[in-house]
Amino acid sequence: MRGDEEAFDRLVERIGDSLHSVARRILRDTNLAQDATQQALLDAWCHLPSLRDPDRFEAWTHRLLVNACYAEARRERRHRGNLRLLPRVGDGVSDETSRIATQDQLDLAFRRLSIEHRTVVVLVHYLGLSPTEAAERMGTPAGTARSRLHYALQHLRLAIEADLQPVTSRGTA
Amino acid sequence: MTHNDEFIGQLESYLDEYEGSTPLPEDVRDAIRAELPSTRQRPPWWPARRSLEMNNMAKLGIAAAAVVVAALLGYNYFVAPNVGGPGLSDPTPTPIASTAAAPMPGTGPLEAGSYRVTGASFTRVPFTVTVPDGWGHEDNFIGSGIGTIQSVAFDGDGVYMASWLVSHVYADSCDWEGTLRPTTTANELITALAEQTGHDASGPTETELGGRPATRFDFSVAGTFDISACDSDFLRLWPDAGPNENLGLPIAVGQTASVYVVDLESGPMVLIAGRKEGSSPSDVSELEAVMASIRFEEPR
Repeated sequence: MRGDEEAFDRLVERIGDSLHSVARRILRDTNLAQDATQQALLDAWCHLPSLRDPDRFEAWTHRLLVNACYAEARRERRHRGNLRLLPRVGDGVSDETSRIATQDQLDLAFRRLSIEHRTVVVLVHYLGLSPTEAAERMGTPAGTARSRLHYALQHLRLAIEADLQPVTSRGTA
Repeated sequence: MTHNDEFIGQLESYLDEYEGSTPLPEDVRDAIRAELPSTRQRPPWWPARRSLEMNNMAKLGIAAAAVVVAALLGYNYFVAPNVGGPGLSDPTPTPIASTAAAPMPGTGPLEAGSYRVTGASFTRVPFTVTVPDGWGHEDNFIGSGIGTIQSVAFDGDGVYMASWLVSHVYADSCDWEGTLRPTTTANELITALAEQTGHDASGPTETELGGRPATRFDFSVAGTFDISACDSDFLRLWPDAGPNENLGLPIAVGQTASVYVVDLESGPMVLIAGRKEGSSPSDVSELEAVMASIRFEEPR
């Protein structure tokens, strides 16, 4: 048993940072991301004997992580008073460059997405998965993943474009 | 570069640069290491591993059934005595907003609403069930764990419901090895469950579930129970139909399973409502409402 634990510890060393990075991008909260990563890794340990295809390990751990992120997000909703948001990227420097301004706007819009929409964006545009692969990680039909991705990208794109629109007066004849 | 390419580039750059490198802190790694010795690894059969079969033809005509489900929410179907933990007896189910029943999707979180459960491996007839926000689906388990239902329900304090087709029952749920007895009819199943040993039990009690007469048992394992004397780290009520002893329904220490045997025209089937001693009253209330929302599609 001790040998198993040591082997799993090496596995945690190998994948822990990657899972944590994904969780932080989905949850946008340091402590929630740590809790989700820890839960996903403990779930992986718990159910490792049932993993029949070692080639599926990465996809399997991503699935566990997404589930853990959803659980953390749900817990966070129940205790919203304890919400601990990370400082936004670019806070205080949003007018230094247009790139930072865009990222700041993206960050604001990204935070307004639901957990499900953030998840599909992170899986596809951070991990580089296809929508079908993302759907598998999220436990949804592929059509649902594509629909969520479409909505999320539309929301983010509109947020940036709105920020670039010149301010005009309204209601003048 | 197109406008869309530029946007995607900006998005991926933003995601890449977000917070920079964020290694998993060492104290989290230490916490994981510390928990491993006390975290049991599940044997491959734990508890059941099956996939719901989606019925893509189920979308038509479901709205009407969902309306019926919504209208009937609030009925109280829990009349059996309570055994351990937060009870399911005499609840006042929390009404759950119901929309058109959708085919039960694969494993994952569920949006609040009504779902149609099919799949010949674990239900004799399709039924609809309405779940609140925050519930999920994993194999044939529907519960408050959002995709980790089995872990939350059996290791933690979560709640779940499940449907099962049972062909054999263990005569002894603790020393279960070699004690299988076949059951074919509802009466045989009820008799076998009534005579099952190894756990605390109440029942059989005549009640109603899904608009059908049902026989209820409550099987529980006290939190102080010494499981080391049993054949495994949990009690086993029955294996999968067949029998397939690689799969089956367990009861964890501190857990109570309310088992409903429903005698349908097409044969007996079982629905289970599980909760732990530490399950929150709100979760148990949600479970009561979910069980009360069940409706079978088979004509009476």
